[in-house]
Amino acid sequence: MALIWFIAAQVATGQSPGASEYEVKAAFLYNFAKFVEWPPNTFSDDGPLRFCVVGKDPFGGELETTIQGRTVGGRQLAVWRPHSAEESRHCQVLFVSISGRGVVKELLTELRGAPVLTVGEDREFLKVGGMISFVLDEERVRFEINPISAEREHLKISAKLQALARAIVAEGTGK
Amino acid sequence: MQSPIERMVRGEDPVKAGAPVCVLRQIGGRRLFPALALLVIAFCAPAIADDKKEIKESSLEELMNIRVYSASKHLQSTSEAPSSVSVITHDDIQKYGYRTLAEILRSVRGFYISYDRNYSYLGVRGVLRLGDFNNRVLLLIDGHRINNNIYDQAMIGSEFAVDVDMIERVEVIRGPSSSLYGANAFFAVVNVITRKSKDIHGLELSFEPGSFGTYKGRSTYGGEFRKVNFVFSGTFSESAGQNLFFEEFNSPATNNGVAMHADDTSYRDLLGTVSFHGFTLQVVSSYREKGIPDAAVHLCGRANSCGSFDTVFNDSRTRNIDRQQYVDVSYEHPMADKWRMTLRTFFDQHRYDALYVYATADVSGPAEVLNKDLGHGTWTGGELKLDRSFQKQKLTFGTDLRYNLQQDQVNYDVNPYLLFINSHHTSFNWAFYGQDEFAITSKFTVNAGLRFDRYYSFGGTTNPRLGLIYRPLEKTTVKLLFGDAFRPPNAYEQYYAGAGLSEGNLRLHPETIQSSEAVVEQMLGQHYRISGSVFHNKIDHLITQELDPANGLLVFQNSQKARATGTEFELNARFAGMQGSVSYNFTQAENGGTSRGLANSPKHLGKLNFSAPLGTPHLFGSVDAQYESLRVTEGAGVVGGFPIVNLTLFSPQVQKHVALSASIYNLLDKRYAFPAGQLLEPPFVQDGRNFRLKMTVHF
Repeated sequence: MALIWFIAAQVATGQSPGASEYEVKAAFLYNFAKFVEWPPNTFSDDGPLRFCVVGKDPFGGELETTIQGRTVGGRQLAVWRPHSAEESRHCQVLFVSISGRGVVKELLTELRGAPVLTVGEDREFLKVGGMISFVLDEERVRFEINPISAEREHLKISAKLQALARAIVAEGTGK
Repeated sequence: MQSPIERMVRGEDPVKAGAPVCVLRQIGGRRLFPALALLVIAFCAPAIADDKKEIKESSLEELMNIRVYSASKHLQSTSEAPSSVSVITHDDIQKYGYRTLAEILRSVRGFYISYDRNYSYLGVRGVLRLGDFNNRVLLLIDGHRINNNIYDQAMIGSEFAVDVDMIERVEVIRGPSSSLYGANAFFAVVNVITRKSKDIHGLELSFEPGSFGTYKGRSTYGGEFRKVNFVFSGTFSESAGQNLFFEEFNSPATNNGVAMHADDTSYRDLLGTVSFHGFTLQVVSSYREKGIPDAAVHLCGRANSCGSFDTVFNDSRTRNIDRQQYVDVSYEHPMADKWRMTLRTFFDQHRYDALYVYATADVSGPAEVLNKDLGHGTWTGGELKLDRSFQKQKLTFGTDLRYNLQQDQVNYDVNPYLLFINSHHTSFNWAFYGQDEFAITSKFTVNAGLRFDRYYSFGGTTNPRLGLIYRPLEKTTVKLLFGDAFRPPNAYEQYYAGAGLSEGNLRLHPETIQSSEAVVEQMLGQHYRISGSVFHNKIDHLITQELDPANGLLVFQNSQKARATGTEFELNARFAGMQGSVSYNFTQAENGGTSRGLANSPKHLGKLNFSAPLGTPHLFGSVDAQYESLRVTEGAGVVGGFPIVNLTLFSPQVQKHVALSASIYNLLDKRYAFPAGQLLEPPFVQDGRNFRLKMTVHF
């Protein structure tokens, strides 16, 4: 049957029709940066706005492709892979991939006081102090927000982003 | 049938930037599918390249509408449940072209269906008792119990109260679950979760024409206003059905065996769900009318007044109507100290009304008699559930209350008026249950539950369940499950008495099942999951209709048993837009007392579901197939094994905002039948090849 042959050919050439999950998530991260305001003394110089990845990198270069040649608020963009919690404090958007789950709570505690927008991939992330978390809803990427975690670091998540969130999970104390 | 595809395509604009479009052209006739597939490939392949550039330029709103493919989370989430769970999503329903809940359930491992041209019945792991009311499965809509209070019947065919396209997800929880849900959670619990405003956003209109003069229309509106979320949906459907041939009536006096215009179906479903701040209000109203073409062939319909009279053949007046309504209000609230409370209260009504036309042998009176049979029930009640998660434990406690305000069964002849059955009852039951899910170690969880139900009629019953879940490796899960469940005697079995034919039985007690199962689930990489299980079901006190030796009347007694042992395998795969599952079930089911094989029990059940994008994310081709081995009928005759293959082509976005699908059912045009309830009754022949086209527009 022509149908089966065609599918086999598609799989063999490695071409996956449609969007890859992480391509879409990379685009989301770029958009998050557009709709979040960092506190006034976040940037000490004309340095770039840093997108960082902690844990096993699932993007496969998509994050670099997404930010290439673009700016946010007049600022250049860069992708960085920090090696320690201390280095992570210099990121503006920090994506924590699933395989890093074990150390997440510790990492988030180490980031206290630093204006870093933390983004994770499950609701638990929001409950231990994360700010935004991706959720897959029937083959579509959605996100949930914990505004309390963001407020704690004086990050302002715009009303537009909040309105598009699938859920607001307001947990934890502001301190 | 017209070709809506062709009509739409001609009026289309050329491809707009940023909106890859796959153009379909219809080729007439039976060789549609393979030719269409090739053309689709030719027209759609070049559209792929545009997609990549799009995504990084997309706005937030656009990003939220892009379909992505991610396997492992979906496959893994059901592994943590303390039973074997199958989930069918709204997406699956669109891709596989399921038209009723019965068709959805037929694709589930270990399940099989029977249809008598009136109601659909579900068999699980080799047990589907002929002539019964489909009350060994608990059917819930958003957690609301919909089994009615006269027959305890779960209505799963066109008689199901919700349009199948309003289903967000069906969760099939296999195994006895009375420890949590109480009555009728005998073989499985089927929880149908409806689509909410977050799933719809705006106006959705759908229209589907199909074979046998069938058409269905639906309009749904979902939205949000000041933090109040709402969905309203209305569906209407008419089907002329077929003129069916019955060999038993093949003589000139009875229209040469053809029942004309007697297989019609019409239904209307209304659904409204409103939620705000933890409150959810749901209203459901449904009406279904079905012509019964084979009442004469199968002499004793539900009227149970067979013997002296025969239902007239080829009289389209013989039909029944089911009306169901309910209002359900639930409230979920986090309480002090991390407890969460869920409160629910409901008011339900179900009205079954049937009309049978009988011929009289009496020469002096009227040639025919109209007999009316009805079962009207009204019930109300409440549920309170408390649960709390601790670090290693999740505790749940709950209490359920149900008051049956009305359980009326009446049967009478219209003219001359003769009252046969006139039964009116009320009854009451309540229950208390608790469940503890305890993670003894990070790899080993114990789930234990117990429920005590007290019934006004037969007293109390206690049902436990124990699940041991062991995860030696991240990708491997081993489960040992033990559980008891019960099916209480329904109002029909207890109270339907009179007509000099049957008597009630107030001494009936519940049917019971004791089940044990061992399951192994293994993730293979990110994209595959394989599972295998071995099970044994011990069923006792089966309520069976017999002749009372004292007076020759028909009466129900707890007189039979059944034993079923078997094994199942399933392989699921999900990647790059493709999804598929293959399953096999082998069950040896016996009549407990005699160790004779059980009637209506296929030894082998195979299921295959496969869906793949055809060269573009905007077109899917899907196969939904089942194989059943032969079933023994009541009279030790045999109904053949058969494969059923259904194909659906589905495009979620043939144009912006428009989804289209075309389905062929019973592709192989297999002539197949299901066993009937009485000795020497001919089996119910099912439909040959038939089609459906569906178009959905979203504003």
